[in-house]
Amino acid sequence: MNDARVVPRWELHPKSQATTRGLVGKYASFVTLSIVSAVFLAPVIWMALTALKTQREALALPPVWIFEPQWANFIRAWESNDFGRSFLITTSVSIFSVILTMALSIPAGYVLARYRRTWLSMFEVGMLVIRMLPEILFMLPLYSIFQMTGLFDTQLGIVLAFQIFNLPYSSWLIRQFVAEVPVELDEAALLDGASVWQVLWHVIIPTIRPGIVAATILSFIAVWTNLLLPLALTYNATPMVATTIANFKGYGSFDWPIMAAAAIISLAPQFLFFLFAQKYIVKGLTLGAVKG
Amino acid sequence: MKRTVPVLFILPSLLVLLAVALYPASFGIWAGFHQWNWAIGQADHWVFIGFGNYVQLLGDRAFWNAIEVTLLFTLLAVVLELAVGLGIALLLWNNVQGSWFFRSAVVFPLMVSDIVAAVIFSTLLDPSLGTINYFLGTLHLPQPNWVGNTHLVILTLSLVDTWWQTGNIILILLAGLTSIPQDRMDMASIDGASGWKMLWYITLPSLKPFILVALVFRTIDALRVFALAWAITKGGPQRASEVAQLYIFNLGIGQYFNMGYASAAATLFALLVGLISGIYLMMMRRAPHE
Repeated sequence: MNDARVVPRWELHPKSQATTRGLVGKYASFVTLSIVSAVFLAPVIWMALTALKTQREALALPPVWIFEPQWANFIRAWESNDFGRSFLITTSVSIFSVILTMALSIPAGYVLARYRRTWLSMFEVGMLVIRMLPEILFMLPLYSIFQMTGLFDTQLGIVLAFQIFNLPYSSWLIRQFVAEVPVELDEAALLDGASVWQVLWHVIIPTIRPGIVAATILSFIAVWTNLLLPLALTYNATPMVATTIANFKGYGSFDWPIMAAAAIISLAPQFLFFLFAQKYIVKGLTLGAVKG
Repeated sequence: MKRTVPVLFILPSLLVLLAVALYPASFGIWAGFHQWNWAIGQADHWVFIGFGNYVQLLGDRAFWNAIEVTLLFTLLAVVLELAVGLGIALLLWNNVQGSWFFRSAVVFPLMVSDIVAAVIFSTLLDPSLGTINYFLGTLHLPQPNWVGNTHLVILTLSLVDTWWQTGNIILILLAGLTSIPQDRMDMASIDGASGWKMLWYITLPSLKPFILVALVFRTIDALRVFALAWAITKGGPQRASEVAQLYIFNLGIGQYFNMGYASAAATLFALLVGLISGIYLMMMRRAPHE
């Protein structure tokens, strides 16, 4: 600091300056983040409030802030438009679809992480390509194929269809997690005379449990949040929540609070996972993208 | 014995993907070379017409409109999400009080299904009954017709997508930010670099590979937009928001059941998506890692 340049006065106390600036910065960040978070949360909170209003209160402008909560809206939503049944069917479809995805993708992801073969790389690239293709490329032919084979509008059909995107995604995720496990762990177990199945079952699966939880939750959420697949491949016999919620809006005078209540009910599974397993969701979403 | 392991472990996945992905996709591509219009009673027989559908597609203004709309939507959505996501990620990285809550709040919309996002915003954005315009009105701001204006509707859908999907970008960029070695920041700080200089010369260059990954993921996803347009605007007004997947869906199983033509359109669109992804992958390979 002993050079000849003219030092501005405020730089004479760099330390105190820096901390004040740091404090101001922190404060500004806090305020900005609070506003941003409010903006991101507002639409869903707004819908949750709407779900508790009467139709008249819901449509009122200026918005009504003080009202008597209509808890019965949730019961009415459950009972109208096949929504309750579609919720149960979606639950069942998501459970079976996730079981199938995991049963297939854990061994596949393990092999993809541990073995080097040309055909394996081709398989891996193929899965990535499938994942990035538009859904409609598969849905048009599946619609006619399912009509011909009797899979249209059945739970089995939609469970299979969800594998198109969930299986590649989950295999890819499992692969990333297995790749982080030191290969010496496998080798030690193999030297002790374990079979590859035993290695997978007793060494790999317990070690990558967070990865399996993440893949399970994300596959589950994917079933609940997709509209195009159920819209294309199901109808009255196997209604899914995405399509029944869309139907609330379909006809003339729709009851906005009832639809909002149905939407809130349909968010419940994801919301619970987010509340209790956010760590895994974040890990899965991050690792699924970043290790590419 | 050990040689058969990879085969045994992959085989079930391979069979399932062959059945539900590869076979249907090939079937669809093959169908694109046929006249196969269920609306005129061709459900059980088709007529081979070679590239007939593709020739027709080249002159189909509605198809190219759909492509144009999709590309515009993707461009707007990805740019908005990257800008907003980068800003939020940098703020979150500052480690202010309650960061975990803020992160949860901005990531939460990812849990919302596409149809519910669409349903929420179709009501909020209603020009006369919508709450958003009501609040704009109380602030004496203009109250645009968000979904009824042909020039505005794509921006509206990209804004909804920004609300819905920016969380993805934030998570990827946060992973990138935490991977920047702390000593690099400390060194720059000791050298007297200001906050903006550090951001420009150290943080952003280190983040480049992560920004690229976020860009690829969001672009590929945004190109496949369907539910937002289907449920908020139905493609309107006047096809101004008729995105590719919606247009093709309506050509096929949504409305017209012109399956051969729709399959050709789906194939052409998939090729376009593949082309864009391919360009990105080449860019990523060229960009040095770290």
